[in-house]
Amino acid sequence: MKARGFWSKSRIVEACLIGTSFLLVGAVCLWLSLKDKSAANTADISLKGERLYSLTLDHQEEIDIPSDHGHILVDVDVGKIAVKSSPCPSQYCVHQGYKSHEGESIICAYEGLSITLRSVGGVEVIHV
Amino acid sequence: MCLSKSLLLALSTIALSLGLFSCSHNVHHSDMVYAYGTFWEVHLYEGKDEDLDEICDYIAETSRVLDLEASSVEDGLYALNHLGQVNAHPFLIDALSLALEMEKLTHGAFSYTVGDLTASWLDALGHGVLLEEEIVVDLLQKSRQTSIKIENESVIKTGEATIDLGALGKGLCLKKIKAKLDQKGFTKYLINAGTSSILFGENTSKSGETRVEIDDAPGRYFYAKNGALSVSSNSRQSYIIDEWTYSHIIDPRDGYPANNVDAVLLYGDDAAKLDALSTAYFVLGEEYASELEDMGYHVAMCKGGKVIYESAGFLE
Amino acid sequence: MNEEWLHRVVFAVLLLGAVIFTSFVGYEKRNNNARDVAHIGVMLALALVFGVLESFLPDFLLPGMRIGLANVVTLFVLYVYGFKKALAIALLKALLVSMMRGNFLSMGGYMALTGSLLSVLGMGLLRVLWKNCSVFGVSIFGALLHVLGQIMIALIYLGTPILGYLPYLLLMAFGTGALVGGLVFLLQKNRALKRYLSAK
Repeated sequence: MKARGFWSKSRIVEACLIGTSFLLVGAVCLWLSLKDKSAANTADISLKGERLYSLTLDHQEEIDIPSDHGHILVDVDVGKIAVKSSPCPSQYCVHQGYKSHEGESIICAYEGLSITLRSVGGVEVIHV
Repeated sequence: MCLSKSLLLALSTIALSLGLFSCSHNVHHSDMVYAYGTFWEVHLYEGKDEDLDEICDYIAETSRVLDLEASSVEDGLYALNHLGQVNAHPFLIDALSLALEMEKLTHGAFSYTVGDLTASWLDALGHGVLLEEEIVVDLLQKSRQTSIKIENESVIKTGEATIDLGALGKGLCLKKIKAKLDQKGFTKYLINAGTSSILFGENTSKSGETRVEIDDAPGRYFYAKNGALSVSSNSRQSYIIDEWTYSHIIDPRDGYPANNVDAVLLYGDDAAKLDALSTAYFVLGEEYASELEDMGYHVAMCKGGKVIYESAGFLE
Repeated sequence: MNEEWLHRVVFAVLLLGAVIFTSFVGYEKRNNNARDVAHIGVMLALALVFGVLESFLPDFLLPGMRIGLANVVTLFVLYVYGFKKALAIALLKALLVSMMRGNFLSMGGYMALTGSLLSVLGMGLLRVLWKNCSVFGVSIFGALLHVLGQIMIALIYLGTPILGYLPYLLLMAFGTGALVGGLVFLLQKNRALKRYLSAK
């Protein structure tokens, strides 16, 4: 029989450990959501790990990507990109809407599609 | 004892989180603005988001001042063109003063009154035809008969032609932005106005230089840092009729599209003058290129995919 | 080796491994009577029911990300019947649910399998190394490992962008782990259940 009931020394240590690791993960999540997001000017589109396109987000275009279960429509616009339609059941990728910041991504796990935004910079090469 | 260990762990977590929050290396604020008829890319490698916003707001504001169709701007170019007299916005005064100066400096190759002529030419070329001679003569005459007078804050226009400052608007805006950035002590930035006018500060690489590759002369490039670049080029916009290339830049001296070179690149310290000069010397051609060097600028002129004139030590 | 053959090999290995393993699981120190075998059968069925029910819920971010109610069964079995049986339950559940869902030899199925495997191994190890750890701690630890296992597979298929989601998923794992732990805690407290299970 435990003298102190549930809260023995071991339990307290355990609670502290769980609490601190929770705070750590929470802090990382908070930092990720609050950090400065700069505008992206390039998007990398990959399907099942294979890079299909690397586009600059400076024009309007609709890209049709054939996938396992149908076609995925990606809408490219100036400074932003979105998945317009997808044959996946959850439609989570479509609901995410337009992404326009560096580091953001749209993932359709069902089809294996991954769109990552980045900023090519400090712009090191310019074409004139 | 276990308690103190947990406490230590908790404190280090808090310290780590605080550290993560205040982490600020690799700062890069960037945004895109549509202004002066093109997309601007503004990159600021220091400062805060507010500084970036300030620059973008300034670009948008000045763009509206020089916008030929911004009827709601009471002290802008639209008002001047339609009312003939206006208490002008400071930016407009500066733009017009610069235009007058450039007209004198470039043997008349720069003009701020060829807006109608340019628009008519672009319309005709867009339909695959040349503009009729009568129209050219008529518009040219109107252009020559149009002038402006600046008295303190007031500007008076005489004549029928439309005043168009598109040839130096971007450059002037960049010059003003540079002054603002200098005031704030910022040195790391890059502002690219549709690749025809670019303001270089330092970038985040070790050397701080940005490599500029010239599409009109493939394989040729140079390194830019703390300077301004202006490009006037046929590759932006040109028309080919009967195997002859017609550029979008009209020679104000005879009213016809300039045809001497395919591209002019000017690199120096004054973004505003460079913008106007690149347009003017696109019209003047290779013959007069050395004058630009006398003014203290680096110049490169391209034709047929090759560089036909370049300042010593400018390109690689 | 092309992908189809790879899948066939994986399937065969898993099936064979599952058959051998589950029969091997029978040979355990604890008095292995028919009653226990029946119990395990019922537990597996229960885990499958939970798994299938949860699969009707919409995917959250990645296919296979669930609250994990089926883990209540796995964790309960870990505490009452031991590590090997819990491992068997977890693996069989992952395999069978993914077969039923139709994502067996695909990312979703592999994610469930790896997550379950890592989770049960970790929980078993924790129980051995830290005997006094409460069911909450074990459950949360298991949930975290489950997420890590799933992300590992997602990483192979979707690349590094998926890592952006990792902190949020781990945060969620604390919650789901605590929930599952709480449910098992309540089950352990249930006197009627205790009496039933300890009766021979």
